[in-house]
Amino acid sequence: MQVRPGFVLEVDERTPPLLVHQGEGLTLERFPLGTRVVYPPESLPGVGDVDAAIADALEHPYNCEPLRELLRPGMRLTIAFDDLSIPLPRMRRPDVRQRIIEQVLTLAAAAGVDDVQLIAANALHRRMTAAEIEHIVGERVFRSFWPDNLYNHDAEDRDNLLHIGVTDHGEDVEINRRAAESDLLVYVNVNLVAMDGGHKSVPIGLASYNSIRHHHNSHTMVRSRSFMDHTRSEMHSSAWRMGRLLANHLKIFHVETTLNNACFPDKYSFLTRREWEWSVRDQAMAYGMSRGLSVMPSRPRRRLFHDLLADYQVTGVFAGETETTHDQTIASVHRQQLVEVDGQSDVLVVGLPYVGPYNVNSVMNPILATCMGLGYFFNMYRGKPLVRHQGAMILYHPVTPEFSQLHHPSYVDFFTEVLAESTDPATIEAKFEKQYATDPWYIHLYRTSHAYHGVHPFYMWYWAAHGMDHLGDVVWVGGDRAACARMGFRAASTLADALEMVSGTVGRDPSITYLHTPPHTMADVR
Amino acid sequence: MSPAGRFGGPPRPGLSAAEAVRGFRWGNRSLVPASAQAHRLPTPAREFPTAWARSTPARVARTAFLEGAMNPLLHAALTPTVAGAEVFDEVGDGPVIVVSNHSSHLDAPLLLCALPRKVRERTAVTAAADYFFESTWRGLSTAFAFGTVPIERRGGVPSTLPLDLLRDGWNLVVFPEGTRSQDGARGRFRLGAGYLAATAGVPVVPAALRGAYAAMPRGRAWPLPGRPRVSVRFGSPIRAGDGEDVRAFTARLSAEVDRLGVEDSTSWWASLRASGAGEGTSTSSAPGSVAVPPARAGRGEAPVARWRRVWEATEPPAPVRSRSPWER
Amino acid sequence: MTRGLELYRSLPRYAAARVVSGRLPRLSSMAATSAAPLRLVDRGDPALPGPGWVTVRPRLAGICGSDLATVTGQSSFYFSPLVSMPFTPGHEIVGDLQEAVTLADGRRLAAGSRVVIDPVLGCAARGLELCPSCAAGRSSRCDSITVGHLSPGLQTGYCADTGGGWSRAMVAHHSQLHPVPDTLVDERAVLVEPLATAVHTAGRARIATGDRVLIVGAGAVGLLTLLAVRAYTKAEHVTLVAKHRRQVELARRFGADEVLAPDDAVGGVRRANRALRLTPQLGGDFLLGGVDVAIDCAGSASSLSTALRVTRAGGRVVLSGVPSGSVDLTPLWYRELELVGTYASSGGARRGDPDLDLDAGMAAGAADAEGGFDDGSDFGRALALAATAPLDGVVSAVYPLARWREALDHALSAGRLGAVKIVFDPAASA
Repeated sequence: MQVRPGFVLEVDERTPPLLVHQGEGLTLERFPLGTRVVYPPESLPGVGDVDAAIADALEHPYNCEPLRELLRPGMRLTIAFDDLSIPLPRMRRPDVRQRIIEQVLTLAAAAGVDDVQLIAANALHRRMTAAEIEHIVGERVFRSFWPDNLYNHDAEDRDNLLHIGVTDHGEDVEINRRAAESDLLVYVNVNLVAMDGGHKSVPIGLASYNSIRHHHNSHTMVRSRSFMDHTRSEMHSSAWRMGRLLANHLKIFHVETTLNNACFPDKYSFLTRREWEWSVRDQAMAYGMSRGLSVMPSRPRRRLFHDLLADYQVTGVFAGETETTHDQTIASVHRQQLVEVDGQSDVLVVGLPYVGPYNVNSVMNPILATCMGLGYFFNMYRGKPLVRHQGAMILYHPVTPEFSQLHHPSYVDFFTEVLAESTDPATIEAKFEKQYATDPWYIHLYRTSHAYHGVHPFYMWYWAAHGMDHLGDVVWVGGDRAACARMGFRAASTLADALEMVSGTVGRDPSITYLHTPPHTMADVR
Repeated sequence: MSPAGRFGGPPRPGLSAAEAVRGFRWGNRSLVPASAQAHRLPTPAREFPTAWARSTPARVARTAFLEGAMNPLLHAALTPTVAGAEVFDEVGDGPVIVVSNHSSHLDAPLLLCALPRKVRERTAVTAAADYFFESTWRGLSTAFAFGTVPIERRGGVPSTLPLDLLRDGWNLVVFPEGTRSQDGARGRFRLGAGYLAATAGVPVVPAALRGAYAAMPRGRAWPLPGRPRVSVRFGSPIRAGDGEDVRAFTARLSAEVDRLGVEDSTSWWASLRASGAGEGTSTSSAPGSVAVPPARAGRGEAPVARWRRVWEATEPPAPVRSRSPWER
Repeated sequence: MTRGLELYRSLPRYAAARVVSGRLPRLSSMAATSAAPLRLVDRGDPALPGPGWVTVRPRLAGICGSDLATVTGQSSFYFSPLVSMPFTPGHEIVGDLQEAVTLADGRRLAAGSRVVIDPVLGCAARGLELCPSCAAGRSSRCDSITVGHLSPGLQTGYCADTGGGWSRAMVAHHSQLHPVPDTLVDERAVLVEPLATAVHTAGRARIATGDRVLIVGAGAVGLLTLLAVRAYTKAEHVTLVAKHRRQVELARRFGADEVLAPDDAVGGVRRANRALRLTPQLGGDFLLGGVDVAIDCAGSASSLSTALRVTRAGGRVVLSGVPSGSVDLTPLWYRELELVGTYASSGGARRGDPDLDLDAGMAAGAADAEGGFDDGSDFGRALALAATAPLDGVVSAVYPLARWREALDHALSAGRLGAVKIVFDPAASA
């Protein structure tokens, strides 16, 4: 069947209520007439035989010898892979990373390679649990390598980091020692959105704080327009410089994969369909869920959401030299996600879903919600932002000031201490970042528990720097008033109230764009 | 947005139940927003479930209905005659497609009642999916009464159901014009019936219906008073030749239907002569219209005025035989 | 005829108040106001117990946390032999002298002079030979408070013979009197006694230069302790744990470097001191590392527990509030903490006392700047602080005695109601 491209709907009298995600909940909303709604392309069909596609990619890589020829007895082989922050939600087994790693290992075994280690490239993200790693690499790989030769990267293990050099911009390049000293590093990626992959994989995923601080700061992030477009992102430019330096020291074989838009299980597939094509059953289910979830106790509700596994299909497997491969990958991502949008509008509306890259199996706290909205969704553009300079953004999220002590201990302190002092990314960077980055307790929890690094909440805030800089007004519909105020935003109880509140910035009759996501949609604003 | 909560809480984002019902137009059809028209889904091959109507109990019930209710009703309101039903003895047990001109809602019951019971019990009538099966009640009632099955006449994804039925040994009644005639004259035959016959390799029994338009044209829900005459005449089975073009086959079918109409109003011999003369010009002639020479005066001539076509079509069929039509 | 509030012996009332306010803290104000064994009585003026005693007519008398604990039956039975029933509560007093009196140092106070009272009833007041503590000027440690020519009573306001501040007349020994300068208004003068206690606490905490200090509790005791710590120690960083908004505002006004919410106390201390935080399987989190000195000014089990869990190894925990409840003392043992008590004030302590070593130089500087009340004693310093500190609004409400139920209710919920110190004006008519 032919896949319909994404398009921009204009809300008219015939438009039914539209679905808006609101954290661990759904909302049906009637938008003002004339609101533009950006719908992503329908899910592309996956490649028929994923294993064959992988074998073909490994055998015919871009700008590189076939993997088979790079393997020889006695070599040190390291396989690094993306952590659980992608894809979201998690992929139904088998994960595509598992399929690739199994094929790489099969080739390595045939070539007589003995010294193999697998490293989860989690940078400053939390360590994954054994079960989470097993979900990614599969039972066979897990049993063969865990725990000695399959482990999480540790960005604070001084003994296991190697300073490679300094780029011509003076940026330290420091990555995992084992990876750096390998004869071949195979990196297995899932390119969920256009931001991922390329030189972002090795120079960031396997780096130390000392190296990451050069591109993860308020200065570069405000100049990454957007960070979903690596050709116009200062952060990616820095990573690219590091990657090129690294490529001179280390043979890297990149395997990148792209997925389609089927980000919900079949049972909830109406979540990815267009509302006027919903059956009565879909409509009733959507309404029932919107009401039922709002009265459901939070614990079972959270379990319900985090147990969702997506029925993604693999739309492409690309392998070879980093940059050539990544061009192919990005083209594939754009095929699935890019929608042409004609011009900017005064107001951008988004509904934040229950999960972001940093709260898998956890709570989306206010800082992560900000990062999700003003970071990720605001930056889902190529060319110009969807909203004009000094326009307004309206987000749907409860912004409950609830934190996971296990995963986000530094976020709690960031929220109570840092944000009480200032919400300006540059100010808090100057005043607090060093203190948090070197705090021994956070480092201890990062290394031994399952906590994000102490500096991570700062990065979340920097992600939102471009959005904060660009926007004139930010209002959260249904948000916790005190939490929003703490972060320098405002809360409204309904969309009508929110539009009333932003009327001071954008007038009484603003043009509105609603980015209908998930699934991922990237606007190509002309 | 919802109004303030029941206990006076603040308003919440989202819709109240009443707004959702109104928004989704429950009880009405859902509409596609104007700007999404260019991005509609291809019309799904929505199959109205009709298999139940071909089950044994439904067949028994249908026979009882047609013979016990419909046939007496037809005889009460009309004066029907049937000719040529013996052709079904020739084709034996194999399935056939019956094609006929179509000008009235009377056509399907007339044809069905004219068929021998043995044939009729395994006969389905194809009906426009968009007319008969958009409404649940109309779909259910016609599927029961006439064993109708939906076919798509607007294009879109063709259903495999008719072909499957033929392969299962069911006979099909097809009106290749696709719709009832506006003016009583036969419309252009579409290719579907010929294609089906050629694909399934089954013979086609042509039939001509005369007088139905005069008795109950479009827009009427009950026949005209005075028991108007209607006649059904079946012709010999026709098979598609090896490698014969579907268009050519369809042309043969339409010519034979026309001829049967002429035969019904005149005689077999006259019809043979008339069809020989008018071969290939039958695009807009009513069966039995040979009585009006200007209509068949030559190729490429402008069609006759509408009033004249209606006039011809409403000419009551003269009685050819007087015996009861329902006896073979 | 003198009108005053009297706490009398009534087992049913006592038990009712104790049970209700203990089991249902929400109802403690109801318990205090309806079940408390307290009554408003009219009596003759208290008789002067002996020479050196003088009648004082209170102008304002504060309601202290220890008063509330007594009234609601929450104070420890430990105190029972240290008081004599029935007594008139009230030990935070500013009043007028009924007649002229000569103080021990030879100063002569005319009739009608305003004075504040050091409530401790030590050897001097009881007409005894000075015990070693009293001789050293540390009257709060006096061992003779049950003997002598007075009924037992650790302070004015707990003794049957002296009366107390919550009445129109009481008696005081001249050793208890501290004259109030004319420039000091009553609303500030009534805070001198609690300030003296706070100054005493700051001394007992022995805060070294550069120490990091945590004060748990932002009621009157906590806030005044904060003032004293700021004024008379060289603590580098003072953090206050405050629950209510008004308390946070006052804490900032009084010079706190950081104000933490109670549920963020452990986290906030951890951040500022870069300590490691550990989570036991049961019970609250604790730190390895933390503040040098923690002062518990709330006197609850949870506040003391917090103080114990966030103090660095070898640090000091000071008990300023009246302690109640039981607390896990494991951190005291494991972290080798010093637990220090602090009670009332040392009326006669002078500068240079090694056991009450407020920083001498600093105190002198403060005294010079503040006009010379500061003779180095707790009361001298308290008078200096009362004159200079930004105390406006600390006395949040003044009640006549007749409305004592309302006053106690207000005082019991002071924090939530945005109040700090509630006082009686015994002279006012209802």
